[in-house]
Amino acid sequence: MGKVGAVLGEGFNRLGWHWWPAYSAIATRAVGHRAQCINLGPCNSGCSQGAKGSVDVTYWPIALKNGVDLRTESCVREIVLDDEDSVRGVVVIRSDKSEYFLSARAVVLACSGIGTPRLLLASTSSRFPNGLANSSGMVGRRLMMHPCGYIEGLFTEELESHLGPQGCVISSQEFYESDLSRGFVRGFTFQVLRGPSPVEAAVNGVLRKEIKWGDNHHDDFERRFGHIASMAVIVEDLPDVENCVTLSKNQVDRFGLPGVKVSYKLGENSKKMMSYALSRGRELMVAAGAHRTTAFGPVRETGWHLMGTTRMGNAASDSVVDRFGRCHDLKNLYIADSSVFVTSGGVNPTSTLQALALWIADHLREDLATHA
Amino acid sequence: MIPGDIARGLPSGDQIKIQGGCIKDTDEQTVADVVTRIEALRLSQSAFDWSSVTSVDFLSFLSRQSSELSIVLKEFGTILLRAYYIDSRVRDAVGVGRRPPFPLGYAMPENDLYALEPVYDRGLIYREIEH
Repeated sequence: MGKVGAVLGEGFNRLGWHWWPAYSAIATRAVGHRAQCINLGPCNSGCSQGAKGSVDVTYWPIALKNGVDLRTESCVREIVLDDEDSVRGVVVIRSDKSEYFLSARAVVLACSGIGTPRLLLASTSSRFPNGLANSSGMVGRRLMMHPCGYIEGLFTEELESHLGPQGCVISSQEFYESDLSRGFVRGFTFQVLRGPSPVEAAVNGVLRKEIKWGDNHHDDFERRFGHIASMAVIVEDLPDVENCVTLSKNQVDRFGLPGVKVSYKLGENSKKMMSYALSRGRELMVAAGAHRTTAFGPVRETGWHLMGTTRMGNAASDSVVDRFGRCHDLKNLYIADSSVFVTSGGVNPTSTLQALALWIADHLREDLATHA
Repeated sequence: MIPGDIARGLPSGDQIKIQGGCIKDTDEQTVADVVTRIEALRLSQSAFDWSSVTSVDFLSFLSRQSSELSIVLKEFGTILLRAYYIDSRVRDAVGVGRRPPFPLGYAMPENDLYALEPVYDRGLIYREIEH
């Protein structure tokens, strides 16, 4: 947790709120292709130690070793139907626009909450004129995005907040469950982050006029760098059928494939929850000893958790995939990404997503063995 | 815009060379745009004694000319800050070093897990699953 974690933990205790050191799968020793984390911090711009658990050092080396054929500079243009209830492969387009057909016993989509519905909607046929696997009309619907808020406290004491792995100091689920007296349903997670790098501290400080150009620049910088505690709010976004992904009629990508139009409106419930969370976040920072607080949200550049657009369910009438990630409409087409989420939860989705992917992979293996 | 500070070991902004790697293709256009606009402004007000104005006052003056110019100047300022705070001398002076301290990295204090006692005392935060 470091110094910043200890200080904010004390703040949570003063308010009687729940908190816990965050689980973030940090490598305390070298494992597989990952090096040991040595607390270099800020991780968002990459890890020069090679300790960050991104897929290039976790799953991909193993997958390649096990024979996975990775084809870069290529894109699937269309999924091709075989007969009434199965697919027989995909059409791949290369960067030089040449195409080829790749046959497959099963096709697994993992293009996330926008890419997966995009490909399905682009794969039309006489049987699926509104997009593949879309007999329910749910492909692209119920997009959820995790509105994210940000709270910052400025402390007199040095917190060394720029050291250590990013994004995982403390999490608090004090306000995770529904409490109707708050004016909204469901809840949110507080996630205590590390402080910014020198560049980020300077740029943000100048943009907010807290660091000035000229004579006082270095004094202002010194008061901020290493003295900032920051915290994210992850709001549980509710599924709304009107929030959706559709194909764009006007835009294409570099392969000439149709782009997407994302229609999303922040719900009233999320707005109320965000406002409440930002107030509680400021309260926490003050309780921990901050002499100045800043809070804002939803942060415009966030919304990177894309979920819900090919929802999972038992009924083919209002969901796209079954509990094993297999499309109701097609027996050998699977989806293993966050688009199958039914609800968003108020937490980062990666752990749930990985668990689902492994669950779906286990079933796929059994399914392929059964139908060998 | 960023003065030097000998006591802190910090160079001034005008001693910093903007490295090729820290400037993006889009930044080059921003820099060129700013230079062109400033030059046009200077020519249009040639009677004014620019030498009596500090760089900070000049920046403030420019920002007031138009909201569009103000936005471009913010982007320009971001480029300058990025160049300044990745400079090796500046990184040394602010305590992060010019390169990561391999192989040991930074030491972090041990967690005082007794701080979690109040959390234990209040009981479970989650609902038990009903079977």
